[in-house]
Amino acid sequence: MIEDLLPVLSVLIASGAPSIGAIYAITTVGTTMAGAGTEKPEILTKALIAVVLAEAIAIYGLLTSFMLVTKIPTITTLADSYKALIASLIMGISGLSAAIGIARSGSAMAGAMLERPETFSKNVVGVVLAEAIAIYGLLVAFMLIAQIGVAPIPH
Amino acid sequence: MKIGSGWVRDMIKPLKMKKIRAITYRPYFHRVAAVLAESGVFHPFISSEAEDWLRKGLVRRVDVSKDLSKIDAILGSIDKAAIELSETSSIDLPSFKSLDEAMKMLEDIEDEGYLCRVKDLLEECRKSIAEGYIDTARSSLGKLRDLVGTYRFSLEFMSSTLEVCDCIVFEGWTPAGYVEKLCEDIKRASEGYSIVEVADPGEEDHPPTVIETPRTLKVFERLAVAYGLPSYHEFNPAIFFSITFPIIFGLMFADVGHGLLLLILGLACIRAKRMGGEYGEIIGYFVDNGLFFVSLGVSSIIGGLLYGDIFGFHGVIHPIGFSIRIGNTWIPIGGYNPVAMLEHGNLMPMFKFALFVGAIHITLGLLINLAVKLVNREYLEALTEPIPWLWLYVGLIYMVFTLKYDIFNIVNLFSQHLTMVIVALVIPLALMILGKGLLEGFMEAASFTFEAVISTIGNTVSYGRVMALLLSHGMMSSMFIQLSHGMSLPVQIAVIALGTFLVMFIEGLIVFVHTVRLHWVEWFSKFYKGEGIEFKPLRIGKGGYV
Repeated sequence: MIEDLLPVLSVLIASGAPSIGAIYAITTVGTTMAGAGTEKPEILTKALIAVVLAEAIAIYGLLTSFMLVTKIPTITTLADSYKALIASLIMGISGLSAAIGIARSGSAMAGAMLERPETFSKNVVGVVLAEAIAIYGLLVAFMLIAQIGVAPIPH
Repeated sequence: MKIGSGWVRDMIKPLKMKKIRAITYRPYFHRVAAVLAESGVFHPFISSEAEDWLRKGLVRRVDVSKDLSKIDAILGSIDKAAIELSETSSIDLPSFKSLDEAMKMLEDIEDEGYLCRVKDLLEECRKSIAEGYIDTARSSLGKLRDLVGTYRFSLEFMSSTLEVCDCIVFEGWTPAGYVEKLCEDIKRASEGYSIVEVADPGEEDHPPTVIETPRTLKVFERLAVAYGLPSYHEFNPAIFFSITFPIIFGLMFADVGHGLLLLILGLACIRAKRMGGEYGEIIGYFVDNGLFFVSLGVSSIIGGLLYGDIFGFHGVIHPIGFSIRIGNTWIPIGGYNPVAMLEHGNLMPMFKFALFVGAIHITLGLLINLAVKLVNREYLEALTEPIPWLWLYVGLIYMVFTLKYDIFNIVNLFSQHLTMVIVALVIPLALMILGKGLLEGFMEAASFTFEAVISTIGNTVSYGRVMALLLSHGMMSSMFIQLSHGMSLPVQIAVIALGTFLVMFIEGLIVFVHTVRLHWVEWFSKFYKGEGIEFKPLRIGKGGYV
């Protein structure tokens, strides 16, 4: 019973949590960009990087949930459904935390570029490092999902 | 080819600069300033030595604020006259009030000689207005504005110079190739009333940077320099950037089909550029950077061949690959499909390969660091920083690939592999701490060593994203193929085409951003600071002093 529910629930978490994070980051950065862009439209192309990276979080969630969906037919044991749940939680939590980082550093970066556009190259590091957290989550989630439904390799 | 001379040097190092210090008699200064601005290769600055003179009261700053406000007033009244002139029909004569005001103000400006021509022009203008030649009056008014603008420009330049008695002292940087001509020009313009000194940049100087990247590599220069301009003693990173950037992009965006599309896009852009024409901002970016897309496309095709991916279909072409051996580990380079590996739950080969890519890239960065130190003849610094760092890094990578998980078994490590530990870790660490400690103090050395070791390990692990993005690229393109499964052929083609477009656009952008990030954060921290000063020569522009 529960091993039927858990995989589906993990699909929900894997696509839901990163989506919430992504939309939080996009709205935060997007509104700052809209304000900054009225003053200095030429910074928008560079500031767009934060929105792209925020959107990437949703894509990582999509990929994780897609992989989980393809794995559902092979999930037979309780252990496998736990793996699916934890993998989705890894992606979800890391996606959410990356989104918080991108939202704050991304909008601060757009604001800072209004006054001094040359600060972009240093400030973008904060955004990119925040996004890295989501990538690490994706990496670990992939590794965990890859183990689902695979017979353990004999040593 | 010898680095240090000829075109190789010009390509990878900023142009050689010379420091010019000149003293000229005050009445000739405006002519000298005009010559400097015309040459367009003179970057004014004030050296620390001159600041020292300033502190001691040997020289003082030139005060031009009064003259500047007068000139601004004159410019204002010239503009007013021009407006009046444009509103006047050829029959009615304009009032000369504003021009007369300007004339009056000219009387009490110093530097009579230079402004003599201004007066002549003004007189000419009045005459042609009186005679009714409006067009002639307009053109001489335009000339007048240029002349006064030039004067304003040299006044502004004067405000950043120093004066002693009746002489003006100014300093600046010039590329070495232009130095002789510029000195001659200064002497000629001042009719011999000047002393010009030329010197090489000293230890404490920070000359501005001029880099001459070949035109085809300008795209990469822009990407690299967006991080920061190289300082005078650094290498131009664009050349190395242009080699590693497409390779790492291609390893993440590995798909023969997508690569082909990028290649076609690049070729189309190059063709559009040849044809000329006007394009919008975003399309203009693409058109200008055709070669960039060609290089990314070629690299993606090679990556696609390594992983056997074409438009997300795996199994159509067989992945080509080979393995190389480091220590006890075989590292597969290509020869498997990432999505197929994921389905089998075997991700280790890909992860090993991603770390291997990182190790190669970082080693390259450290080698560049070493080369910079050697070219600048900082042999002692080379021996204490890049050499032990490189040694330690290569040793560490070798140990990891040889011992694998055994590396965490400390007791075993010291009892069985003591020689390796000493050669790969202890000697370079000792060299680094001792060498840097004797040069800069031991606290400094300890913190540098700690940071070098920790950050290098962290940076190498960070290349794990090569694998993550490769997987997500493969997954995303195969996702649309699975979605379209079982539909009729036209629908299938439409879904796959839509998917390809999405993957090309979103995934391409993400991979691009991450490739830039790997270069800026992980790679540049090994050899590049990017704290150069932009070369801003004196030039007469529309607003005067540019």
